[in-house]
Amino acid sequence: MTKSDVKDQNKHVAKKVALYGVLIALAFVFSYVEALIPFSFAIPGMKVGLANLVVVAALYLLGTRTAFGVSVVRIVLVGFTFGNLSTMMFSLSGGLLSFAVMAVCKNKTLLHVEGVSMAGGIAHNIGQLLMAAAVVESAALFYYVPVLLVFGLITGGLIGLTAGQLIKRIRVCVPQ
Amino acid sequence: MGKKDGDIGKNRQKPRGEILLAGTVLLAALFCGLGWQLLHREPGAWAVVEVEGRETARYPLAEDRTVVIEGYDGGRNTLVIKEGSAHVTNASCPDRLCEKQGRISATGEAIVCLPNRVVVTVRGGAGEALDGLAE
Repeated sequence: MTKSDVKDQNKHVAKKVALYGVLIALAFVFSYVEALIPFSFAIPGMKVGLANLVVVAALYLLGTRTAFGVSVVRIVLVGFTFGNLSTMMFSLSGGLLSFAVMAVCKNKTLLHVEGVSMAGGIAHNIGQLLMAAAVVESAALFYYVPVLLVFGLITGGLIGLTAGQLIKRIRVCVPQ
Repeated sequence: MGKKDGDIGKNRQKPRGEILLAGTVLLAALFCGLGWQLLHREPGAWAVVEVEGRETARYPLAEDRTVVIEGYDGGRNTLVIKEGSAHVTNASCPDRLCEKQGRISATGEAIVCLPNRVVVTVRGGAGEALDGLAE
């Protein structure tokens, strides 16, 4: 390996670190903005999921690994900053299930970004519901399944539509 | 970084998969919702309070009363039973979502407070009423 090769590699790593930092910061800010909205739904865990916009865009523009990193780091940071261990657990259960479903849907089905995001929104709500049911040790929560399905579909769809537009426009500036 | 494929290009095509997904989910939600209504939609007799999965109290919906539920980690919720329905006021948790869940009166309906790990469920039926009397 020559000297310039090493230099190139370092440059590449630095680029990657910077990109991760920007994406995580953006997702973090979205979470904060969402927490500021004085509008919440009666059912625990029902949110628009603005931060997921960054995850969906990263999934399409930068690949599964980067998107996964952004998603998990964002959840842990937001949990420590604005929440506590139990809110972090809810976010993680929703976030991980949602991410797994989105990654599979993107690669294994014919769904576009909108559909992938819809599936992710639904999976997020189901993941949180399962966690909630485990915490309160009650099946009474499953009463909310229909509402959560429809809500996840709508929010996921909206995020997907936005992400689709975003991806189309910023694709050119993303480092290869 | 990950390889780019023609995913975005697919946006131009008809959103068949999306329509199918949305349709399936809406149908499933409708089916669950309707099934629930058919199976459970009858006035309940008891408000059953559970903390961390254990029943701690049950109150007849027929009698008006106000009680404080002691939840997980010192959390408190006030349960108000009035005119055959139950609702929660004055939750100690920050988000107070349980207060927004409204009144419950039909069997199977529930109010959930996640931070305090409290679930209030309406139960009914003769058999369960007898259980209550036996306590």
